[in-house]
Amino acid sequence: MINKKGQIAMALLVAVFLVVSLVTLGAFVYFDKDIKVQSGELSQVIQEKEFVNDYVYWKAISIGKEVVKKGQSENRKVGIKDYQEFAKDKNYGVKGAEDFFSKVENGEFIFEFEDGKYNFEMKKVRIVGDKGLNVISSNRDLKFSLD
Amino acid sequence: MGKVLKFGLEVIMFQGGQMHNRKGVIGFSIVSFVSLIATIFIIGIFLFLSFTLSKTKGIDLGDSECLSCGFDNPDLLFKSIDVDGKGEVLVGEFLMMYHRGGISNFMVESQLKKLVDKYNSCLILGHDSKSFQGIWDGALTGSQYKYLQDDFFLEFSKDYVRVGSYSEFRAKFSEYDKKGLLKKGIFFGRDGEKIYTMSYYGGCLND
Repeated sequence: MINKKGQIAMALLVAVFLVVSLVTLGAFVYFDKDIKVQSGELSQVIQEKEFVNDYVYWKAISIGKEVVKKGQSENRKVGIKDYQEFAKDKNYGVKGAEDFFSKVENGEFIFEFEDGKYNFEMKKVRIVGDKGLNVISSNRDLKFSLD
Repeated sequence: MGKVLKFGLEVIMFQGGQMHNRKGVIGFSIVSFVSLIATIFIIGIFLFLSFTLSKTKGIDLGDSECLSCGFDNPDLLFKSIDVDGKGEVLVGEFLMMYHRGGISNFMVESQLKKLVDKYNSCLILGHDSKSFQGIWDGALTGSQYKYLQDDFFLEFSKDYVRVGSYSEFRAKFSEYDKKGLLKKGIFFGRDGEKIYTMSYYGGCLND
């Protein structure tokens, strides 16, 4: 029979080993779940970014059409100032499209009448999709013409 | 506290059943304690970094292609309608306004009718702000109907407009779904706000 206190140390060692093993096992299980959650989050970020990509384009056209319509009704050519004026009330708070509205406000775009049509051009609009701390962004040039 | 330390010291001193010299044991204890703290600290850093770094993914894709540029026919949610008092508004924005409150069912019905009349087309639309599963997957099976809290279904046909809830439109949606004509859409607002839609917009089908 070995002395009692030595056995306590041995027993503690076994207990510590068991606890560490269980924690490691738990980490494996938790890691597996976490991958699924993260994958879902990333997929949503990509989806959101693609949405903003489309939204910004069609929103720019929608505002442009309205501005052109106004010009036609007043029988005059419209320009950047008119576009800015209309865009002021057209931001309904779509997340990720802030850069577009900011560029419109700062006049960082072209909207001019040339060769019988209105040409719109905006360089490097930042498109962002994010969920939590995951962020995916890109830049795109917006360009279209309206009759 | 003193008793605990004394006991701990005795346990270490009797390791292997042999009594070691006291100073050596104290030195050993100090080294063990420092090693333990260092190990816990390193594990802590490892865990902290693995949890934080895994979530701080900032991916910049640089310049991206203008994928939808040049297309004349946007998805329903990106179509522009001239809403009374608001001017040109995208369908998705309009539905978002409805779900935020302040726009009546009648207003939605009358404004969307313009879209149908303009292109002489038909529209069947279900939208919901509460649940992705509800309107996308559950609507047809009914299993997730409980999630559809503020559902609002519309049908614009050649001769009539029908507005109602999910239960009234279930059969109609199933029919379109079987033909592969239903289109799912999401419109993202601010702070996690989303509008889920299931729709058919196009030429009128024979009933």
